[in-house]
Amino acid sequence: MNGRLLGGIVLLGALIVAPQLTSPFWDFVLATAVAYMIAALSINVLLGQAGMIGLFPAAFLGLGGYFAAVIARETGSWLLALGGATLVCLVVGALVGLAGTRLRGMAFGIVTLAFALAMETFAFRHGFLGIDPAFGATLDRPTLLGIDFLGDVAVYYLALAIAVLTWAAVALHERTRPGRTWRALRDDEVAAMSLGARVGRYRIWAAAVSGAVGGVAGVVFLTVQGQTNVESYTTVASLLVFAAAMTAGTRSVAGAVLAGLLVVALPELLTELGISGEIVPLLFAFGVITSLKGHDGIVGGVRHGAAVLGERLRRAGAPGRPPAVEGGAADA
Amino acid sequence: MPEPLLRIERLTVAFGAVTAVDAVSLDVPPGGAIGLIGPNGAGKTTLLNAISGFVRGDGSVRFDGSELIGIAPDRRAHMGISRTFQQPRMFGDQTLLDHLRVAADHAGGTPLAPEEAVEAVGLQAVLGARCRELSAHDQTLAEIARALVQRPRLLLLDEPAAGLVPSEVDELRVTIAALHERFELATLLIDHNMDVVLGETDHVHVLDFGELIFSGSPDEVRTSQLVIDAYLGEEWEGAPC
Repeated sequence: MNGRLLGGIVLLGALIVAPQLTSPFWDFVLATAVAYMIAALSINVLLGQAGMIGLFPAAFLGLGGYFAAVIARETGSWLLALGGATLVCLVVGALVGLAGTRLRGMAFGIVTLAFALAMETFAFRHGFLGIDPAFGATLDRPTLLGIDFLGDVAVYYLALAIAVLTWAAVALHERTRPGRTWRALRDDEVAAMSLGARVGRYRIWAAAVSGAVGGVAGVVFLTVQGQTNVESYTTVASLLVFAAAMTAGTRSVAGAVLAGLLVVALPELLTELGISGEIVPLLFAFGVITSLKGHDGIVGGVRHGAAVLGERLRRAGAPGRPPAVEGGAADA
Repeated sequence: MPEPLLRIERLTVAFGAVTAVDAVSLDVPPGGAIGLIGPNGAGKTTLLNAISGFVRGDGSVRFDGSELIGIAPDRRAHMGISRTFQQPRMFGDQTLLDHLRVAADHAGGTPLAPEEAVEAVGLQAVLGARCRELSAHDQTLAEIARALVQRPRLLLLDEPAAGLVPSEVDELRVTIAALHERFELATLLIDHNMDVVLGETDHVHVLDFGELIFSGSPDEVRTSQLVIDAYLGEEWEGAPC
């Protein structure tokens, strides 16, 4: 069994047992954190896999939530709300991604930031889809297959199940032609073009899939919260989620899980310890700077450290290695 | 006289006031092994970039009868033009097999099996290795294998011998020599290693300050005073006494 698979199983096991080990207050916090884990996964898709900067996760969080609220209100079906909102976000993501056919790096990032700002200013604060900005969007926790997900523990497991399905879909997509092409574009766009990769359409698809994953996060977030308003979907919130993802690592599910915990659970934990949660953005700023200079966030750094340690241990334990001789050649 | 696979007519590439390639005309016949030499800054790589579509040029570049000017690099690749780069451009942390799969994904026709491509360049042992961990020599060969997967009809090789030690250069020469016969492709080879260029090509073009100053067989290049003055130098060991 490879290390990544083993790590994934351990991580999933920890997430499954987490509510059994914490107080009821933390059930709600953790359920919210799972929604942000999915939101961080949308950055994992766009930045970690396709190499595109997307500063709009909270916009898709809102878009997914708002459309889910409307579809659920009209149809009474939570599953239809989830599917419909995801589809809308896929299309909107593709439209934003059109800019990515011409713009690269931070220039595209600025477009996504402008999109987040436009959504906040002109949609969420102005009665978007007929939803009163003062009251916000609402979505009832569902009953599916005869199981009701009304309690915090139950909705946590619903959120986790959706997160795992989303992670599985993203992981399967990584092994497909578009997934391989994204990584090629991320690592060397010129080389990918020289091989015939149609860069524009793959960049649009990356933004679309990222938008769809962000939309799923939005539906889960609203389901857990029950009611949300624009303050959860601001441009600052987008930057915060992006910074958390960068700090945690954008190339692994473990990074997305950690990012969700950093956004939601860390401030609560600090508050419990009597430390102001206000310092969290500062920690993220520091995390982004260190991520830009080194490995893929905290997860990448830990993996690198483990690899270096493992290599040293392997060398130290290698059979037949001649003993080091101070001041002379060992093989003399 | 067979129709050339690639015909370049009066191709000019300018960057602002600097003319990197100045009204160059040359042909590459089907299956031909063509060399392109010249001093640093002569416009060799710019010419390759213009053929593969990464810089815009004025004039005409026709491949298999179709005009390429105005056509994007990805479409040129689909038409059968593959290339390597002066500094190997690999996909970061991906394995050689991943690289070859990406090449196969975007091939214009039926791709070559990855196993066959690595066998052609002798990299079977590192198919599962991460390319960033390969030596410079193996990265050069990996780029060639990646290009071969797409079954190109024209392979542009940009200084494949750069940075290689003599034994690696010898291996590279064997690999390049075998490509024409095995894959029926034409090559346009740039390098500063004259053993490679003059030993592995049938015809050589010489660029200087963007202009084509000489074209001829490797033997004619060796003895051309014009080429010796512009590029090879009197100290060159192949120069006539």
